[in-house]
Order: sequence, then structure tokens, then C-alpha cells
Amino acid sequence: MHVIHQRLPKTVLLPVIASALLLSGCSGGTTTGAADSGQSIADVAEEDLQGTTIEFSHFFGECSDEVGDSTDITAVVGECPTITTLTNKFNAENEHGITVNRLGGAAWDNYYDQLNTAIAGSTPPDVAAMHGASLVDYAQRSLLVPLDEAVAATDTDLEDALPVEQDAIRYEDKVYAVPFDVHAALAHVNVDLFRQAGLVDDTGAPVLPTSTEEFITAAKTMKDKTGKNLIAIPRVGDNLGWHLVHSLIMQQGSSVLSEDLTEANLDTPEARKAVDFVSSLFTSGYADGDQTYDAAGQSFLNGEAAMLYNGTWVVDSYNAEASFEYQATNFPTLFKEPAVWSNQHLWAIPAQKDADPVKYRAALEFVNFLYENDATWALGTGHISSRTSIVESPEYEAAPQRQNYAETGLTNAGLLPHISNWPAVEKICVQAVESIWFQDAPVEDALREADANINSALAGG
Amino acid sequence: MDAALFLAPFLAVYAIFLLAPVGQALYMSGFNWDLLSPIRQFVGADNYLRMLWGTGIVWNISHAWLPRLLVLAVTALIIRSLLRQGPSKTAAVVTGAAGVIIAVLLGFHPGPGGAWNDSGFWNSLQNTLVFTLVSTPILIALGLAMALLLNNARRGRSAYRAVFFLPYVLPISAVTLIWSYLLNPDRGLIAGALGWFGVDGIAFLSEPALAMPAIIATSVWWSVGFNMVLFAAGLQDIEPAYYEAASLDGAGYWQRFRHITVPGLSHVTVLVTITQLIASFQIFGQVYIMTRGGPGTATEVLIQHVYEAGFKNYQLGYAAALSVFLFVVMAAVAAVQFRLISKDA
Repeated sequence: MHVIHQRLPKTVLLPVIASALLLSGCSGGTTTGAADSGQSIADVAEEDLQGTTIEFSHFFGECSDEVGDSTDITAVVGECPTITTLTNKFNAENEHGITVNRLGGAAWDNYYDQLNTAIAGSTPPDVAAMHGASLVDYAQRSLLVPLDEAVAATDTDLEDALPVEQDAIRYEDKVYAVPFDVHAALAHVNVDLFRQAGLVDDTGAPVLPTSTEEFITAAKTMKDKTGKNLIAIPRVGDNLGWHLVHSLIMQQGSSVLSEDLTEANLDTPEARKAVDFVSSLFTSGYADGDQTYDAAGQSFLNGEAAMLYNGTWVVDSYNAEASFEYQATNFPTLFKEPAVWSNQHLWAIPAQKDADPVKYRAALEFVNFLYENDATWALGTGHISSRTSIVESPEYEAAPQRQNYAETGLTNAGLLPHISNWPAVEKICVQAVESIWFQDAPVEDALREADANINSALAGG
Repeated sequence: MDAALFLAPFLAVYAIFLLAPVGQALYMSGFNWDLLSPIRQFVGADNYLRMLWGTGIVWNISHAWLPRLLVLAVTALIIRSLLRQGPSKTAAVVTGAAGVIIAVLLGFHPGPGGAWNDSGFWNSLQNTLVFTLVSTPILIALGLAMALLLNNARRGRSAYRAVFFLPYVLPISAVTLIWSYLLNPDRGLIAGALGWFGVDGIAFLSEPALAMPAIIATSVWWSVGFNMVLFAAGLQDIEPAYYEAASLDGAGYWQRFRHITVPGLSHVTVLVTITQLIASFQIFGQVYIMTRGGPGTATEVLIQHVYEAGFKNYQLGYAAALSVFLFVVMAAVAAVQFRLISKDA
């Protein structure tokens, strides 16, 4: 027993200091700067590319067992099989002799931790997937290779990218990424229930509300005629509840941040209106406020809700699974401007310490291949293609549901504030609406507090 | 000299891997220190100001009076206990001053129209304190109770010990997965059991009032076995003759427990209490996997706040300031406990 006593101080200090260690372990930082290497990337000779191997990291999951060496892109379904098959196809068929190695799989929720660690350790991948909302964090720190001149060498037609992508891939007028898709919020509709409630036009197509008043009236009609909820919103343990509020703020022409993107702007009449409207759906019993992502999806598929607020990524599985007439469509505009939450998947080329133009060029060739094959991705996943020519192509329009929400990609999709630190700002917003919904915080207090927190986050530290 | 040589290898490792990082965290907390770029901008106390201050902060005597009274009451108890122990009054004076200062500081709060710079910090601090103050006594009491039961068991003692200790061996990710399944309102075991009685599944992790208790239950299940093993080992060390003698003198079970078991275990109790408090302050895995700090901010804890400041928001300087604060709180709590318990023991 005496021994135990004497050893105590160490026992006490160890865990304390271990936590400090954890923090300091990452203080190395890197000094890699993006070389101004546009011209040299364009100048790389074809023979230099032969035998180049590049590393590729993305957050679409791991399915190499399932896909194997398949290069058949005609019938792939789902994010992981599609990107894996595309990679196989590039490896098998590219004329430059480039080999793409997939780095260890990461899910989208911890992908950036891995990427950050790799960057801090000066070993970033050659091609990295990135969300539009995260691009500025990296571009601003000169961690990505500017591509304006380089894309000329690969004939990457960025003019063809959707308007929202044009903004998403740029930071301070320079291009830092090649787009892959727009994924946005949609209305997933149970057409049978809309018919039962009489919420259809002469042709039997569902009529979605065009104002908050109409929304409430429709919800009441739906309840009276069918006993079902008009809408399911996954607001428990998921950001989608906030995304709906955010969409409605954008529809009123307002924004989470001030126009110059330097200050918080959440404590506004528009935001209060958006929150109050969404909250009223739950309190009036037109939506179930206890639903997680899974529960909301299940209740929609079980015919308990006539509409579901969810993204492009579920279109194909619902299209296959729904036992009723299913329609994916643009989320209704309830205020003056069409706008809806969206984000983009992009491909960026991280700056390397040795800034080898051959590797950069090889990376760009692969990224260009993915951009060329964007239709495969959009048709395989439900996401909206990043290219106008594809969204307007007959092949795309003929694919299930795609034309019903093409408008979302062409005009409705709103760009998230293109700032550094957006994920931190969004987290504060999510916490604000959750504190209103689940912890009975008064709306004004929660929004004012969120503004203060957002300003602190923007100020950095 | 010989002693210094003997200690040198340990001290070297200790300094490099333990003291230096603490020093570095202190140093970093004075900077705007970016995770991904070479930005190292000296900002003085700005990070601390951001953490501890806000706009429109006011002070009044009645704000948060209950916690402040509690602080004063605990301070008084500690002083009483310190004065009983011996002639040294310095510790008592320091404790008293610290207690009064904390009680005064707790009177600061955002006035009408004001807000903390980082309300998430205060919220996560509060959640961490609640978790620590609730889970620690449960973990100690339950660990002791299980050890006593085990000690009295005639057969299968080692089997029981292994069974109760098993969860502690599991990684936290496995433990939280098990409990997330158990608690799932749609498909969980608990929801299934409630279903037999016609009761709907309870959304433990999405109900603010139930999320923290669920996390505490998970933590207790996970780590109580470790405390039990420590207590069980302590019980083995108590001379059986004491119990025999006490029984002959007519002592009942409670009297034997009170006068033999409790003093006999005092060293183990010190160990368990301090390690447990420190472990509880550092809660992270359970929360991060089960609720991500939600619903709302109901279960966000300090380490999560540190992690997100450093790795999600790239603000290592601010994260360092937050962890320095946590370090100071834990060091203070541990110091008080040492003074109090180890002298008795």
C-alpha cells in the first residue's frame, strides 16, 4: 500500500500532460507554398508522365472488395462503386501511363482530420477530394496549386461548369479545383399521398406550396385528408434541420454573414422568420420533431410523410425502394428568391514540398478524366452534374428523376459563404437552432449568442 | 549525486515528453497559431480573453447564487479539514482566498444585449463539471460495492472479476457502439423491452435531459470494473485478524465496514478518487461518438471543444489556451485532494 501512495504524483500528472502532448504533437506545421507553376505544369512532356504514380484521397468510402478491377462504368450505382470504377478505368486505359493509388479510406466526417494531418506532416495526397465550403480554408493558406493556366494543357473546359461551381472552385479570382458535382437539398415527394389529399394539378402532378402560408394550408389539408404529415425533416443528430432553416434564410435574400463576409448576420428578422416557420411545423404537428436521419427516411418510405427534406444522394435508392409513386423535385421556394442549401464535391491538387510539375500534371490528367466522366458520376449517384452540357444533355434528362431537379443545379443551388472557417461557423449555427428546438432557448437569445460566437470564430485565435 | 544519476533517465523522458509539451502549450496559447500554415502571430492574452470574456459583461451579487454558495460551502469544508490536520495555516488561507475569488468571479455574466465571446466554452465547462461530479461518486461507490460483494462471494470470484472487468478492456469505440445500439429508440434492446409493455422507444441520445445520463451510464459500465479490481486488491491487503477480533468484540457488519474496511482502503480510495476525477475531466470519446456534443449543446465537453478549436477550426493557439485552462482546473482539484485525503491516509 505504501508503494501505491508514493507513485501517486505520476499517476496524477500523466493523464493531464498526455492531453497537452496530444495538442503539441501537431504543432509542426508546414511551410509548403503553392508554386506558381501553371506554365511548368502545362510544359510537361508526354514522355515524362509515363510511369508516374499519384496518390488519391477521397471520402466516398471503401469498396475495392466489391468492385475489384471492374472498369465497367455503364451500370455502377452509388458513390463508392462509381468513383472506384472510374479510378480503375483511368488506371487501365489512360494513355499517359499514370497509375492512381487510392490512399486509405476515410468517411466524410473524419476525412479532413486525415487530410490536415497529412498536410501538417508535409505528405498531402496528389489529388484530394474537397467540399466547396472547405476550399477557402486550404486555398487561402496556399496549400493548393492554382490551376488557371494548367487546365489549358488538359483542355479542361471550366466554362462548362454550372454557375454555382464557377464560384465554388475559385478563391480571389483564381481557380483552385475542378468541380465534380453539386449536391443539394431536394423535396422527395410521395405522389400518391399528394393525390389523396387533392394537392395535384389537372395532370395529376403534385402541386408544391409557393409560400409559407400555402405550406401551412397544404400541411393542414394533408393532415385532414390523409392523417399524414406533410413533411419529414431529420433534425435530431443531423445538420439537415439547420440546412432547411439556412435555405429559407437564403430564399429571403439574407445570409448568415454580412455582405462582405466579415461579420455575423444571423440575428436578423429573416433568420427569426425562417426558424419560427420551421419550428411551427413541428409544434403544429405537421412534422415529427423527434426524427433522426434514419427515422425520417424510414417514415417517408413507409408512407407516413408526404414529403422528405433530404439531399440528392438518396434519389436513386428511393427511386428503387419506394412502394409508392416517388418523385424527387426542387425544394419549393417559399419566399421571394429560389435558393436552397447546396455544397459541391471538387478535386483539388495540394501543393507539395518538391512542387514536381510532372506529378502535378499527372494529377491534373486524372482530375480532367473525372471531369470528362462527370455524367457517369451524376447518373450513378443522384448528385447534380457539375457541367451545364451534361445537365442539359438528353441522356441526363432521360435518367430517372434527374430532370425534375435539374433546376436546382442550374439556378437554385446557393453557394455557402465562401470563407475560411465555414465549418466552424456552420457548427455554431447548428447549435443555435438545436438549442432553440431541444433546449427551449428563446430564438432572439440563441441567434444573438450565435452571432457573438460566429464573430469570435471569424476573428480567429 | 547517485540519486540524481539514478533518476536521470526517467527525468529526461519526463521532461521531453511531459514537461516540454506543457511549456509549449503555454507558449502557443499566446499566439494566433494556425494548424495548416506557418502563421504565428503573437496576440498576448487575446486567446484567454476570447475564452473567458465577452461583450456587455456585468457583475452582480445574485447571479448564479446557488453554485457560488456551493463553492463557498466547499471552500469552508476544505478549510475546516485542513485546519484539523495540522498547524500549517498557509494552505487554509490560500484555499480560502481561492474560494472567495472564484465565488466573486462567478458573478460575472453577459448583461442584457451582451454575450460571451465563446459561450461554447462555458457550456462545455459546465457539462464537463456535471459529468465529473455525477460520474465520479457513482464510479467509486459502485466499484467499492462490487469489490465487497466479490470479496464475500464463496465461489467463482475470479470469474465474476473477469466479467466485470471485461468492458474496461474494450476500446471506447466498441463500448459506445454497444450502448448506441442498446439505446436506439427504434431498434434498441431497451426500446424492445419497453415495447413488451406497450411503451414507445425513448430517444435517450436526442433528449437533452437524458443524453448526459445515458453517457454517464455508458462510462460507468465501461470503467467501473477497473475501480472494482483496485478495491478488491485493497481488500485482500486488509489483515483478516482485524475482522476476527472485531467480530469477537461484537462488532456488526456496518461497524466492521466503517472502522476496518474504510480506513484499510484509504490509500486505494485516494488513488481511485484522483485517477477517476482526472479521467472524468477528460471525457471525450463517449460524447464524441454517441452524441457529438448534442442535442444542441447539451453534452458538449471541454476536450471536444479543445479538439474542435484545434483540428476543425485550425486554431491551435486558442486550443492551447483552452487546454491550459483545463490543466489548471485539474491540477487545482488534484492538489486539494492530495492535501485533504493523503494526510488522513
